[in-house]
Amino acid sequence: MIKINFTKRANHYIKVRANGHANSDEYGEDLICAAVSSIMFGTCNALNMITKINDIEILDNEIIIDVKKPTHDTDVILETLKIQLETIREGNKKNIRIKEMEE
Amino acid sequence: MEYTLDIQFFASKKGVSSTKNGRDSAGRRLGAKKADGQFATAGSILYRQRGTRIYPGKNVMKGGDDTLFATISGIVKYERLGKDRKQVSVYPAN
Repeated sequence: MIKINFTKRANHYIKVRANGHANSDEYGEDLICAAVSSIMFGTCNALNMITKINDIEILDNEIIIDVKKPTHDTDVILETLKIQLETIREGNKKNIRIKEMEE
Repeated sequence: MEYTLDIQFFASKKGVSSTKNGRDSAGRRLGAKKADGQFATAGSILYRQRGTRIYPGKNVMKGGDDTLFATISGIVKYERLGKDRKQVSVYPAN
């Protein structure tokens, strides 16, 4: 299961952490993983190109996005990310878990 | 672009078979073949099912595999049957 945790402070997204395996199929054929990977990498590039944020760590099977100075743009991009992930999760609840926490 | 997509980033790693499952039979395409209010010709299939989720009503018969089909041409009606059951009937369209 891919676990994605969104952390908010004062109603702004300040952190996103995604890790785990979708386990919906073998490596190379895991469509759920492909969807989530595409959205996550796309969001990292969007944050980097639009809001110049680069506190992004891409580790082995884990992505951590740190937003030191949240803005309207970073909130919109991360809210969009959340909605896209929830859209995938709609039909695949056993492969993805999304949590939101307030700091 | 700063981050290059690894499209299998969240997949279980190559060669590591994480599940022994992954086999399934093809879907049987069960369910309604004619909707409520739709016109059905005599003999046409109304509802494919396993067991009797839906019961045969007026001018409808049940086949050997529990498939429901119309015995006359007319309008399809899904109706309640008792407290918690459903039936499908066909009424002549005139």
